[in-house]
Order: sequence, then C-alpha cells, then structure tokens
Amino acid sequence: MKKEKTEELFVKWIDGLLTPEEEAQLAAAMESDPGMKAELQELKKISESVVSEVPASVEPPYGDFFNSKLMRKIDLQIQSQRPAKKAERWWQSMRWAWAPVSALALVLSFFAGHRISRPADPLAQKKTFVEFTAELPTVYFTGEALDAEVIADFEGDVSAIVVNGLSAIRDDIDFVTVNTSASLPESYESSEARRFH
Amino acid sequence: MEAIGSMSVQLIFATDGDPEIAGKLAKEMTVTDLKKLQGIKEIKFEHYRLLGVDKPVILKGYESWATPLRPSKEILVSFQPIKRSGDERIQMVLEYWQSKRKVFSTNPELKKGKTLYLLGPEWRKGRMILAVKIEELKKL
Amino acid sequence: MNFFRWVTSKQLMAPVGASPDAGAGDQEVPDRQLIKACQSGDVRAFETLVTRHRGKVYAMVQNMIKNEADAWDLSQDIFLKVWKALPKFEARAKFSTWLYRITHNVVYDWLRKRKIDSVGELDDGILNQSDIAAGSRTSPSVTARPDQALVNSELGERINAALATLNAEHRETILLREVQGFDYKEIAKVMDCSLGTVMSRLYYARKKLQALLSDEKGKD
Repeated sequence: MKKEKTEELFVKWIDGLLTPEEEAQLAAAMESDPGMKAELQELKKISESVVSEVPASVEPPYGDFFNSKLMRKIDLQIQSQRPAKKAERWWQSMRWAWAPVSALALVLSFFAGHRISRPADPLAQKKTFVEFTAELPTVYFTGEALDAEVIADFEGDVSAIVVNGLSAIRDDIDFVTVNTSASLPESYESSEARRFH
Repeated sequence: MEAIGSMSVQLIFATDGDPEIAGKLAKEMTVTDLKKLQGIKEIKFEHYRLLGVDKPVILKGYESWATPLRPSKEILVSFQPIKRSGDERIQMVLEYWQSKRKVFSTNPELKKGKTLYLLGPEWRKGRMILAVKIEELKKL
Repeated sequence: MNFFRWVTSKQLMAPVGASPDAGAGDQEVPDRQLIKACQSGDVRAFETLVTRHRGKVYAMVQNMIKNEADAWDLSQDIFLKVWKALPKFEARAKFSTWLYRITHNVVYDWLRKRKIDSVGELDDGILNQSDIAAGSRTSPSVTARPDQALVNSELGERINAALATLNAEHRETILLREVQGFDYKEIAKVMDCSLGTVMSRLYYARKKLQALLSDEKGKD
C-alpha cells in the first residue's frame, strides 16, 4: 500500500471515518504489522486528550470592552467612508481646545502627517488621526446616566478624564475617622492581605 | 504572583475657594504637580491640596486596590493590568469606588511617568481629583 | 497643552465579560440572518455575531500564537476584517469556514512578521519560550473560568507545550480538526490546501505529538 494511503487510513481510523472498504484495507495492513493496532490506539488516545484538554472557546478578557473597542473602530471606519460633508459634522461634534477653524485644519493636518507610534513597538505604523482616536479609553457607568470627556495631550496620551454628574461627597465626611469595612469586594480584602500580611 | 511595576494614586482636593476647608491633614502640592494640574484647562483651579496617596504594586493578572485615604475606604481605586504596549505603556482597567459602590470604570493606556487625572465628585465646594501615575514598569 | 477632547457616550455598565446581546435569546437568530442584517449595515447585528464567535476566534488565535496580549489585538483585527469583507460573503457559504479563513490569514501575517516560522516549510519550528507568556496557556485573568479549569490540568499543559513545538501548519491542522471539529474539506478551505495535504499534516502532527508526549511519559 502507498505511504500516502496508509497515512490517510490512519487519520480516518482515528477519526472514525473509514468506509467499509477502507476498514478492510487497514485490517489487512494490521495483519502484516502486529504493532500497528497498538500504535493507532495510542494516537487515538492522544487525539482524544487534545479534544478534552484544549478548549475550543476562550472568552477574551474584558469581553464587554472587547466589543466596545471593536465597535468603535467599526464606527470610525463607517465615518471615514462617509462623504466629506458628514465627516465635517463629525469633527464638529468634538469640542476643540482651539476655536478657529483654521487652527483646527492645522491640527488635523499635523496629526495626519505626524508619526504617532509607540517607540518600543516593533510593529508600529504611521497612524492617522482617525486610527488614533480609536484607542481612547471608554468610560462605563454603573448608576444614573453620566457623561465623561476624555482629554488627550499633545503627544496623544490621555491626560485627563472628566466625569460629570457624580454624586457629591457629603461635606461632613471627615476622611480620618470614616472607616467603612463592610461590603467591599473580596478582591479588596485579598489585595490588602497581600500588601500588609 | 508577578510584580510588573508600581503606581501612585493621589487624591487631590481642588477649589477656587478657601483650601483650608479640606482640613488639617491636607498638604500642599509640590510645584511640579501644581504645574501639571494647572496645565489642563478642565481641571484648573485656584488651589489644590493633597488629601492622601497610596503606592501599590502592580501585579500581572490580579485586580489590586489603592486606598488613597487610608484608613478611610470612602474613596478607592481598583486596577487590573490588561496588556502591555512596549516597555513604557500598560493598559489597565481602573474602577472608581465611592462609599463602597463602584461608580465608574475606564480602560486607559497609561505611560510610565505620565499622570492621568480623573476629575471626580464635588466636596466642600471643591472637586476631588484622582491622579494616577505608573511609577515603575518592568521591561518586557 | 491639550489638543482635543472626546466626549464619550453615556453607557450603563455591564458585568465584566457579559454583553447585552449574549444569552439564550441570541441563539434564536441564526448566523445567516445576522449576516444578512450586517450586510444591510446593521452594526448591532454584527455585535451579536462578534459576541457569539469571539470565544472561538480568541481561543484559536491564542493557541496558534501563544501570546495573550497579541491574541486580543489580533482577534480585534480579525473581526474588523470580517466587517469589511461581509459585503462579499455569499449566503450559501458556511460562515464559520469563512471566519476561520480570515483568522488563518491574520495569524499567518502575524507569524510572518514575527519570523517565528517559515510558512510552507515542514520543518518544525519552536515558538520562543519568551513568547509563551506565563499566562498564555490559560486566560490572563486570575479569576478562574470553567474552560480554564481544563487547560490548567497537567496533561493540558503538556499537550499545549507539545502543540507549541509543531510548525504552524501542523498546529493549525490539529487545532481545526481536534479542537474546532472541522471536517477535512473545511480544513482544506480554511488553509487553502488540498485534501491530501490536510491528511498528511494530520498524520504527521499526530505522530509528532505522540512522540513528544510518550517521551515525556518516559521521563516521569
């Protein structure tokens, strides 16, 4: 029997996909090679171990912002494909530090030509402004609807996040004496234990 | 447990009014810190006072906590590193907790040595500002 | 000096790892329908598709490149490419095969750039040990998840270490067959090779794993 044929029979036997003719062929081959069956059984065992030990699905860490980051990139992609008029409205929805439109154009052209890359990243590529804004952080809120603004600096790093609408801290709270220990997450206690015990 | 760096989390009181209202334990900020704060229009105030600071270690794969007003747990920050971008940058999930409740979280990429300011709630006619900075980061 | 501000939209926090679109209701809408909606520009339908398939894509990528940080980024790239290519997707084709074809291309582009392995050669390459990040055989979070329990087993670790020594083609063939359950024809489509090549790769990859794992047994 050709080598390729034997290999194919082996593979199919392990996967339980032999036709009756192929089973007969393999049985004949086994008769002339007593060790073959043991070898096949071992290969099958390993195949079964791979199936049971290697997960087919692993959720990426922070699945919610995996999605939000991706959807943000898609949003930008859609925006960048829109006709110029609509794109201009999109720029206008951002509140710029510099009011004059000419200054805005200057800034846009600056970023378009400016290499914004991570010096240590070997795969760093020239990034356009549109790509850059895809990397800004997202802010998630638990309670009532709030809003946040992300402010980036000259080098494109996030320098501040302004969250508006948070409940004020009571004026009469004296942080020295307040000591709330109940109802904090277990990870807080673990974190403190790691540091101080 | 692998320590991959350390960070500092400061809690700052900012006001255009009388800074003494923050209390006796509040300290004046350094000139460097003042310049940084006043350089950002959105968090520019007349006066700033440092209420507290915590400097936890950053552990790979772990959620850790900063308690800037220790022993008070009124304001807490949890952080967990997610991924590195080179030797100088790390993306983290930061959560701001107030009165034992998670209020908001965010996932900024932080550069070593650069401070990220989070302008937070009002208190005594001023605002709270969290200043988060990566102090050390292990090289990749 | 600040250059620009970005106003983020208000969002209600979802529990970490959960998505508003995940859950039993999500399973009622077949991929075919979601894709049709996506092709009409429905981004929410696309997000549902992402939530449904991201675990498999991430697992495949992580198993191929053994680098959790890059696996996260590459998984993003894959879905972005899927979105861009969806207008060309034909309804009669199988979505999973198409998705994995894109995954294959993205992973191999990454491998080529990293020069870890020469595509097309059969000599076994070894991923640099430094590339196999400490947590890469499991999820990066310390919080254990059910799927993580399997990988954390000793046998699981040995199998993952053995898989890492195979060259990219052999590793991918094994993963597609054993882990993802693709049939031979589907594997051939994903990897853009003949059926004969698929059979040959499966054969040699299994033999190699047998040799490695038997070797380990002998050492114990």
